This record gives sequence, structure tokens and C-alpha cells, in this order.
Amino acid sequence: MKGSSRLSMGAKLLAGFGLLITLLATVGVTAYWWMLESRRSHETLVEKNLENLYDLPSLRANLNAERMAVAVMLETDRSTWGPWEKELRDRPRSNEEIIRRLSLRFRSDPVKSEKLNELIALMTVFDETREKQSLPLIRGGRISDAKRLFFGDELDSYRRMKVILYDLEEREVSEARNMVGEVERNAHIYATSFSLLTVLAGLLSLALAVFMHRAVSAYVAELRQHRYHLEAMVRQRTAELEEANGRLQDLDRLKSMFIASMSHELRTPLNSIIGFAGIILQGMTGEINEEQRRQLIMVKNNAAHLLALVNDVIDISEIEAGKATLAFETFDLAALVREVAGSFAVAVQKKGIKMIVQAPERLLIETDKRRTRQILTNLVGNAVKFTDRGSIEISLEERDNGIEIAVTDTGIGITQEDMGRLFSSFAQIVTEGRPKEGSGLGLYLSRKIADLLGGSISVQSEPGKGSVFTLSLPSTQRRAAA
Amino acid sequence: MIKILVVEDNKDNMYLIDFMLSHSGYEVLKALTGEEGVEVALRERPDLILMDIQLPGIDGLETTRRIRSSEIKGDMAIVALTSFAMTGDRERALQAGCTGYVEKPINPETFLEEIKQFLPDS
Repeated sequence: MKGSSRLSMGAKLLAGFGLLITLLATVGVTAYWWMLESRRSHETLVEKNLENLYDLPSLRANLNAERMAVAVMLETDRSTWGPWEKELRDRPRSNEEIIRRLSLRFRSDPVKSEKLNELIALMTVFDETREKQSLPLIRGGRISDAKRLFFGDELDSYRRMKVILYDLEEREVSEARNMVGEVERNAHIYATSFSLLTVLAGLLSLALAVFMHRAVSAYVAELRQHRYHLEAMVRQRTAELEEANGRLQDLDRLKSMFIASMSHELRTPLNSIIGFAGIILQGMTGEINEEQRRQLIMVKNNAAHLLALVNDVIDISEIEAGKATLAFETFDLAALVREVAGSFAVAVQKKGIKMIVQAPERLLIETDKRRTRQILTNLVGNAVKFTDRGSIEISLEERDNGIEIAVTDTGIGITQEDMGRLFSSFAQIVTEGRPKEGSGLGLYLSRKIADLLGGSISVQSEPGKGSVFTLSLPSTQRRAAA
Repeated sequence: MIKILVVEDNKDNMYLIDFMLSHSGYEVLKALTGEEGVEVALRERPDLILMDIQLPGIDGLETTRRIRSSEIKGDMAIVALTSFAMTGDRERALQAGCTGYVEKPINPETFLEEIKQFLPDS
């Protein structure tokens, strides 16, 4: 119910409006058609009625005129008969026309038709009596006989015909009267119907409005309830997520603690290995031969490498756990750069490449010295590692918003493909004919430390030509990092 | 003869430091726990204490604080042995009363030079 009523809300409103408009349109069209039709039929009837009301008196007048003509002929001299004889020829002819029209119009009315037939029969007798008896008698000078006929049979027919004609006329008049009454009644019915329909439409509109108001209210209430429900759900989910998040943070802390303690445990024996190897190499325990020295150096270097790896892991786990603490101090960065470069002097000399440091005499910076050294050692170490000929240049410059140290080498460079994963953990660039060295954590850690110090590391490289790693650092730590 | 107390729980490391110091002609006193370190320090009054920070029981920082709060002579040098990667160890060591620090792992080539600066001139 919820879902369907929500979905059909718009449809309901549309259907309601549609229904109302259709209803009103139907009522309007029907009423208008009804009115037109009614007027048309009444017009036909009235027309017929009017024609009848013209024809019937005409007929009556004709008969009257015929009687008149005969009466005049009875009383006057033969010499004046001309126009009256013409009358007696014309009038019956006109009557024939009228009778034909009336019989056509009376066809659908059996009573009128019968009356008309009666009239026609009487008229035939009337005409025959005049033509065959009266007029010959008059022309023959037998006036008294003609008069007897005129006031006898003829008068009788004439009266009967007039009765019929009056009757028919009266029918027409009453029909007309009825029609007027009917029209009035119809008008009344139309007016009443219109009023009723208007009231009905109004009521329907009201009902629709009430219905729509209810539907909309229900919809709004439902929406509101839905929203409350959603809010409750969101609150619950948030609480669940917070709980899950708390558990994850606990786990993360455990992981960090585990890594930290494991690494410390690893470091202690490594310290021993490096220390003892060193003592023996120093000659403190007596003379050793060249092969022993060679192998001990390998032991020491590998242990040192392992230790560096462990230290990187500890650093990363600390930074990732947000537990890394920074020790800010103001020191000479130029001196640090020279110191780091110096620490690679032996390696550079051994590879037969040049190392150039371009730095001012003195450049003070406020940051974590040990961490800065870590980054520089990593960047310069990488440059030395991947450069077999040419030079490495370390330049230190002051910029508007801090300092920039660029380590430029003429080494193997980095392909576009490798560039993407350069700063991810355990990403090592594998080059044919080049042994894998390092932990794969160096650049990953360097970038994390640079972030921590409020700086950044960027790289530009061309395979086969060399790379430029640029470390940018803020000159002061006014904005407390981490 | 200069007396140096080494507080270090790892026996191999202890042996390493002992070896180097003895080899260079110092008298070496040894303590494997913090409590023992406090006791030997107060009893023997060494010229220098090499203090490992991570110790079972009370750690090197607490041990330093205890020695500093009970010693009579105020100029006893206490040098912390701190791990390179342990951020904050050095700061905490100095706060606890250490005179200085030497980074682990011990580099036999430079170790003796590093501790010499903390020894009284002799």
C-alpha cells in the first residue's frame, strides 16, 4: 500500500483532474447538442404549423369567395358575370394546390388526414353541385331553382366544410400553443439541468479537492515518516560504523604495536651482529686474513641493510599510525646537504662518477633534522645506485615559499610506466642486468616524511637520460605539521 | 682508572660493549636491570653510565630519574643508548636527566670516540 500509493500519487491527481474535465466537457457538449437538436426539431414543427395556419384560412377564404361569386351571379345581370366566373375558375384551382400541400403535411397525422379526406369528399360534392347543377341553372335563367340549391345542399356542404376547417385550424393553433409550452418546458428543463449539473460539478470538484487534499496530506505524512525512518536508520548505521571504526582502530593499534615490538626484537640481535663484525674488522680480536675480512664486510653490510629495512618499517608504521613525533630545530641545511653528499663520497669515487653540490654557504631552516637527513640520504642514495656514468648534482635553493633541494642524476631514468608506482610501497624498478637492492620502501617513506614536514617530493625523468627528484620544504614550522 | 657502568639487558650487547671498553682500558661495571643499575651506580659512583632505554622492569628513563634524584654528586654523566628509528627516545632521555646519547647500533669505529666526550678529562 505504502509503495503503490506513493508511486501513483501523481497519477491519482491527474486522473482526478482528467475525470472532472471529461465530466464537465461531456455535460457541456451534451447540453449544447440537446439544445440545438431541440431547436432544430421545433423550428421544423413551427414552420409546418405556420404553413398550415396560412393554408387552412386560405382554403376557407377561397370557399367563401366561391360562395360569394355564386351569390353575386344569382342577384346580378348576366353582363357583370365575367370576373365572377373567372373567380369560380381560379379559386378551385388554388384549392387543389392547397389540398395537395395539406395532404402532404398531414400524412403523419391520421386524425388530420381523415378530416382532410372528409373535407376533400365534401369539396368534390360542393364543386360538382355548383358546376353541374347551380351554374347551368343560373345560366339558364332558372334563378329560383338555383337559389333553392344555393341555400340548400350547397349551404349545407359549405357549413360542414367550414366546421372541418375550423376544427383543423383550431388543432393547428392548439398545436402551436403546445409547442410554445413544450419549448418553455424544455427551457425550464435545460435551465434546471444546467443548474443541477453545475452544482454536481461543483460538488465533484469539492470532493476531488477533499480527496486530493487527503491524498497529498497522507503522502506528505508518509514522506515525513519515511524521513524519520531514514534518519533513524542513518543514526543506527552511524553508530554501527563508529563501533566498527573503533574496532578497526583498536586492530590498527594492535598491528602497529606488533610491528613496533617485533622490529625492536629484530633490531637487538642485528645490533650485536653489526657490532661484533665491526670489532673483528677493527682488529680488536687479533689479525684476520683478507678472505675473512671480505666475508665479514658482507655480514656487516647485509645486517646493516636488514637493520635499515627494519627501521623503515618502524618509521612507516609510526607515521601510518599517526604516532610519529617530530623534533623541530633550527639548523644549517647547507651543511646537512654537504654532510649527506660526503657520506656517499666513497661510493661515488668507486663508481667513477662526479658528485657536485651547489649550495649557499649557510641556509638556516626549522624542521626535523634527522627526518630531513633520512629523505636526503634516500634521494642521493637512489641517484648513486642508479647512475653508472656521468654525474650527480645536488642543488639547494631558497624559494619564495620555502626551500628546494634538487637531486639530478644522469642515470637510467624512469619509464612512464614505472613513474606511476614510484612512490608506492615495495615498488622496485627492475632493470635487466642490475641487481635488486634496497627495501622498496625508501621513496614511499621519503614522501610520507616530506608530507609530515609540510613539504613534498616531485620527480621528472627521461629513460636513459636521468632523473630529477625535488624535495620542497617550508623554511619554518609555524604551521605545526602532524 | 675510569669506571664505566653499562646498564644493558641483552647479554650479547653487554659483551660487545664490555669488550670494546675493556679493550680500551676502562673498568667496566655491569647491570642487567634498571634496579641493579641504580644500586651499582649509587654504590660504585662510576664516571660514566651507558644506559640502554629499553629494559625489563623499570626502563632506562626511570632508572636515570632514580639515580638523578638520589645521587649526591650532581655531575655523573649518563649517556643513553637510543635506537635510530625510535622517534622521541632522545628527547625523553634528555628530559629524564641524561647527559647525552649514543645511537644504536653501536659502530665500533666511532663508538669510543663518541663516549670520550662525556668522560672527565684525564
